[in-house]
Amino acid sequence: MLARLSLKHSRGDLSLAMSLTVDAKHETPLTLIHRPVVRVLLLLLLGSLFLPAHPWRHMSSSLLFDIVSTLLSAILSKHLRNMGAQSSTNSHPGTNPMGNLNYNPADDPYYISNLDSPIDSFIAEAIDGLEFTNIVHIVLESMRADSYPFKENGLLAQHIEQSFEKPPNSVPITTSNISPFIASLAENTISWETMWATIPFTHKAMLGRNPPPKKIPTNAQIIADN
Amino acid sequence: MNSVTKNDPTILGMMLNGSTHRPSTSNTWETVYIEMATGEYDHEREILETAGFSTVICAEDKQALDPETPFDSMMGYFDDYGMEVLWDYVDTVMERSPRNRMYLGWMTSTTHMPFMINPEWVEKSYQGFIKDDSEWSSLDRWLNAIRWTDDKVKEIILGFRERGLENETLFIMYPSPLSVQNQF
Repeated sequence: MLARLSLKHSRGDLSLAMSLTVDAKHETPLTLIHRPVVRVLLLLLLGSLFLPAHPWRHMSSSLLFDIVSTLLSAILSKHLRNMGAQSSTNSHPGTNPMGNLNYNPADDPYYISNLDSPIDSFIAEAIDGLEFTNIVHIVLESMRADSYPFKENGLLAQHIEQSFEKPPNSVPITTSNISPFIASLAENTISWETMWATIPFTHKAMLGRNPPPKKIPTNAQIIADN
Repeated sequence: MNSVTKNDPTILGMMLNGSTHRPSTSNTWETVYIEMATGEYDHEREILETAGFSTVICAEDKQALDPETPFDSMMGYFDDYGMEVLWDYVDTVMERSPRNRMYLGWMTSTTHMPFMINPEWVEKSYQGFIKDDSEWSSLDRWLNAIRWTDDKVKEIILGFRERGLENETLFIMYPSPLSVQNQF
């Protein structure tokens, strides 16, 4: 190994090649044993042979394993801290030394002011000419596009139709029974079809979104096709 | 609990964002956000205060006033308590002279698991839509939570009508998944 290294490096770094070559020239198995590091390793190896027998002793129950894993952990931690300190001057909260793989609130549109941006044209048109003194801002937690106003042909209604038994005297699941007031007010509501849940397979996320048209068939379509 | 904001808060800029509308009687906005979910959850209170609401009322505020009443669930209190606060606030603003402009935020958390519907409403108005044997009987409760919410939206809008404020009030309503406010 040392000889190969000396040949490889001799093209670019003469001094390194010379020293390695000298090492390779004088190293023998007997001289290696006299090295302190090799002695310690041999001692640990010998000691591991006397450990109580169990299937995992070669993996975890040895002093060598503990030393190596502890040293590696300390070296990695120190290295990551150093990288974090070096990048702290130009990073945002939420970034990490490994890059911007994680969620970063600094990039979250929720937290970024758009005061300098022009008002959305749709909203501008909607409130054009309106004069108002007050604003009432209602947030409907966890309410989904299919459910308010309740859509009788929506994904949620299809899911209920396919998956649940209706008792004999159950109330019909209709818009007028679920959300009569908002249905009477809003002939059209807005759905942002490009909004997606970050965890797509939760119950709410599956019910909440509208599938892109003509791309993903609904369960009902799959059943009908088969 | 009520407070007066001397300057237009950031949240107004975020929502109106360059609109040419100007106050007809006063440049002073009173801004409040009311919810009976806990303000600690998801740092809701911090976010709302950062957004510019001068007053944020959450479940912890009610508990501070009434320490003997524990939360109705880990989410906080039934939204009905928040409705009481909402109308107290509106009536207080109405009585002020001169009257300031009002920005009133309200969040209903009834449609969030575990679908906390006030037992009084359940007794009078709950309807059985489907047979759901799950632990929470969740989907049936959720459908009724939507009905409850529809009732409250009606109560808010008609409440403003009764107070003569309907025609001077802009109502903005959206679900939480769309609450990325600078989409506007």
